[in-house]
Formats: sequence, structure tokens, C-alpha cells
Amino acid sequence: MILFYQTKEGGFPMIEVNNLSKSYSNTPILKNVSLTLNSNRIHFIMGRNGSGKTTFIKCLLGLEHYEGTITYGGKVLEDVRKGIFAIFDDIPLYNDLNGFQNIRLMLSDKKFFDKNYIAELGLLSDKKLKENIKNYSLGERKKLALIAAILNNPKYLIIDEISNGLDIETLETLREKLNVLRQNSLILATGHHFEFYESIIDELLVLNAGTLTYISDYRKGGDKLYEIYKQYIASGK
Amino acid sequence: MKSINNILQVANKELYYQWCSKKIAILLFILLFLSIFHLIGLHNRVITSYNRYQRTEMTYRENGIDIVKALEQPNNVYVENNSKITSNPLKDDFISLAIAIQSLKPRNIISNTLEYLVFVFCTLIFGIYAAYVATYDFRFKTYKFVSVGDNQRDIILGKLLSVIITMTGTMVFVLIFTFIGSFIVNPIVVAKVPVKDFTIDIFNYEYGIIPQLFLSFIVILFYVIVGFSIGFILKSMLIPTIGLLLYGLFIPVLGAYDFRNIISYFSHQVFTFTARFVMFKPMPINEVLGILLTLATAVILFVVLFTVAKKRSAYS
Repeated sequence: MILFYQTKEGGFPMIEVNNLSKSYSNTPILKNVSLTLNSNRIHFIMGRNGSGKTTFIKCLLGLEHYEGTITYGGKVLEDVRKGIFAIFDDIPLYNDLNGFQNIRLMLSDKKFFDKNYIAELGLLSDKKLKENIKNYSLGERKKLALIAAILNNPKYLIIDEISNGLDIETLETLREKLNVLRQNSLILATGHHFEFYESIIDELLVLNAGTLTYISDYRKGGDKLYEIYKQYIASGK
Repeated sequence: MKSINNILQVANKELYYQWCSKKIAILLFILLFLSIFHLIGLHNRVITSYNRYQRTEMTYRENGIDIVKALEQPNNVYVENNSKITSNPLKDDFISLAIAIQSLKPRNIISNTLEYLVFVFCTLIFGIYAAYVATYDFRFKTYKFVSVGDNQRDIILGKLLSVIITMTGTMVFVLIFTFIGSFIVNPIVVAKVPVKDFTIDIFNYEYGIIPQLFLSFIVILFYVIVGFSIGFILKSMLIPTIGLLLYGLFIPVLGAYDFRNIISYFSHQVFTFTARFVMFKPMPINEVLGILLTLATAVILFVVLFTVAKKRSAYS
């Protein structure tokens, strides 16, 4: 049985973005983006390569300067940092440490570290986790980041292109774990692997030409993500 | 308070990484090696000095000179063309041997270990180590992950604090090790040399061990700040490493207010440099100006460091 750690504070606050703009060398990437991301939902941002999906994530995480405001349940980033967990597409890890040691460094509080719970998750074996990270495949690195995310039980989980390079079994595990994480977190994901996200996302956002469009009740129309992509992005609307 | 807790948390994680990746072990190994090398050097110095004294004494005896009287005579020493000229070679050798014996005594070992380690080795070792700690998150591309959980100021201060803790911890360990080592080496020397025949209380530490430890800490800390700041600003460990090596080992002292001269000036106030390491004679300086210049450099480095961190993208 998998048990979740309870966060210290109750509630799962929303993210409010107001007039967010970001440019690189006078080239606007995001133009006056305003939106609300809701609690206990998996939000998916689709867009072309270079459309600004990662830039949007960087702004949300405070890794880049931007114009506009972003609040987290009415609070500024500084007040909620410990409740945020991000999984980046390249899964940066300390190559001279083993899996367990990397997990410990990824936790916001070392008391979240629990070897029995990690074993219960069944994502990576004890033997594998004792190995140096250099010997990990991309899929194993992603599983490791997922373990750390689950242990952290964050209020906000931001995942950038996590499904790339994963085999079918791992994708199935990832889908299952994200569904569990959704119960406690606001999740924002980006990627191009539409078949994977199709069944788990609650909200859809389309990023095109610096504008982020919220597609309300996209499921009601019965359209698949790929069709929506074609409709909003590939056609140049 | 929240910020202090965050800084301590960052420092804790940094120390965990440095420990698990065996960087602290490597650091300790290097320092212990130098410490053992120092103890062996002190031991060999006693033996060499004793052999030289015996040879000189033999020459005196062969020439019918009274040894006791010769040792009571004054010894005038002066330097000519980089050579030491002495009016009383026997007394000179006697004093050299007495100093070598005294250097190995536990009461003096901490002081001369600091002299030997701090001014050349530790400044370089900890300066480079600080540059490593400042940059390894860039190398592993983990800096963006770290920056999600903590702000730039807390990360920088946490990293710096971890280096200071490592520096203090390893130095204390090495000094205790050398102190204990002197209890082992001393009996070995006593078995080979009649040390009781060569007792002169030469060492006179006007300021005691505390100012020596304090100055050593400040000197290493200065190099830590330099290595850390340059490493972080340039996201490079190589550049501060080359810079510190060139500055420390190859570039001559550039003037009275060159930091090495300032350090030499203050170190001569609290250390005697009568053991294995002799610090060069400094040019005279205005003490207040020397301190202000050092402080100003550290402050400027911090200002640039925090400005760069604030302006630069943390996604790297």
C-alpha cells in the first residue's frame, strides 16, 4: 500500500499569471499572458518547438526575469518555494553520487527520505539505487526524479517533456503516478507525446506566437490532442 | 530567521554532497599528507642539524678549540651575496639544532604547522575547493533544480558557509592529527639525538596561538572568497584555479599593497617562521590601509557576485 505524506499546510493553491511577458534579445517569446491554473488538475501546454513552453516554465519557477506578476495562492514565489518540485527534460543529477544520494538532495526536507517507501513504489530497485548515476539510462533518471517528486509530495509539480524517451511500461507507471500525485498537487506538464497525455490531462493550454490560449472543456468536443494541435498550431491560427 | 534557516539547509545539502562525493575525503587526504610530510621534514631537520653540529664539533676538537667556551662566545650572523656568514659556526649549528628540536615539541607544532600549511598550501587548496563548490552545480546542470527550492542569495551564502565549515573542520582535524603525531615523532628523535643537551627556549610567541589561528582563518577565508566569487561569476573552476596558481606560485610580489605582502606583513606580527617555512620579509605598509584594501576587495567581489547572480538566468 502506498501512503502519502501529508503537507504541513492544508489546501492546494492556484497559480495566477497576469500580463506575463518575456523577451530574449528584443524577440518577444511570451506576450501578456494571463491565466489561472487550478488545484488538483493536470494542465498540459502544447506548442511547437521553441514556442516558449520551457520559457513559461522558467518564469513560473522564477528562473528567469519577466514582466507581469505570478502568484501562488495569492503568495509570491519566495513563500512557496519549498512546495514546488520541477522535473526538467534533461533530468539534471549529480553524476558522482548514487541514486539514493541524489534523491536525498532533491528533497525539500530530509525527513521525507524513506527507503521502505521508495521500495514500495517499485520504480527502481534497491540495487539500482545504490549504483552511480553515470550507469542510469534516461528512463531510469526520469524514474528517479519521479520518486523524488512523490516523496516531496509538492503542492506544485512542474514537468517539462518527461515522457520523451520512455518505454511503454515506464510510461504506464508514469501515468499511474501522475494520477496519484494529482490528488495533492497542481501539475503543469509540457510535451509532444500526445497519446501519453491524452488520458491524464484535465486542462489544455495552447502556446502559439507568444500567446497562451486556454481551451475550455476540450474533451467535450471529442477532439484528440493531435487534432487540436493541427487546428490551433499547425494551421497557424 | 527564515532566511538563516534556508541558508543552513542549503549548507547542509552542500556538505552532504561534498561528503558523499568524497570531496571532503580527498581534501583531508591532501592535508594529512602535507601534515605527515611536515612531521617527517621536522624529524629529518633535527637529524640533519645534529649531524652537522657533530661534524662542526669534531672540527673544533681537531683544532683544539674548547667546545664549552666556543658555545659561550657570541655569534654574529650576516648575509652577503645571498650567503649566510657566521662568526661562530658551532654556536650557529647549536642554535639551528635547538630550534629544530623545539619545532617538534607539541607546544610548538600547531604554530609551525600553520606556518607551513596556511600561507602556500591552504590558500591554494581552499581557494580552488571554493571554486569547485561554486561551480559544480553548473557542471552537472543541477543549478536550475537547486534554484527552484531556494533563492540565489541563500544558495550562494549556503555554499560559501559549507566551504567555511569544511575548511574549519578539516583544518582542526589536521592540526589535532599533527599535534598527536608530534607525540609519536618526538620519542623517535629523542632516541637518535640527545635533545636535553640542546635546550634553548627560543620560541617567543608574543601573541600566542589564538591570533595565529585567527590570522590563518582570515587569510584562508580571503582566498576562499576570491576562488568562490570568480568561479561563480565566470561559471568556471579552471579560470580561478589557474589564476590562483599563477598568483600564488609564479607572479612576483607586485608592491607593498599586493595581498601577499599584506599577508606577509601581518603574519610576521604573529608567527616566528623559525621552523620549516620562512615567509618572505614584507615591505612596510600602513596597517589600516592594508586591512581596508583587503576588506574592500572582498566586498567588491561580493557585490559583483550577487549582482551577476541576480541578473543572470538561473536556468543553466
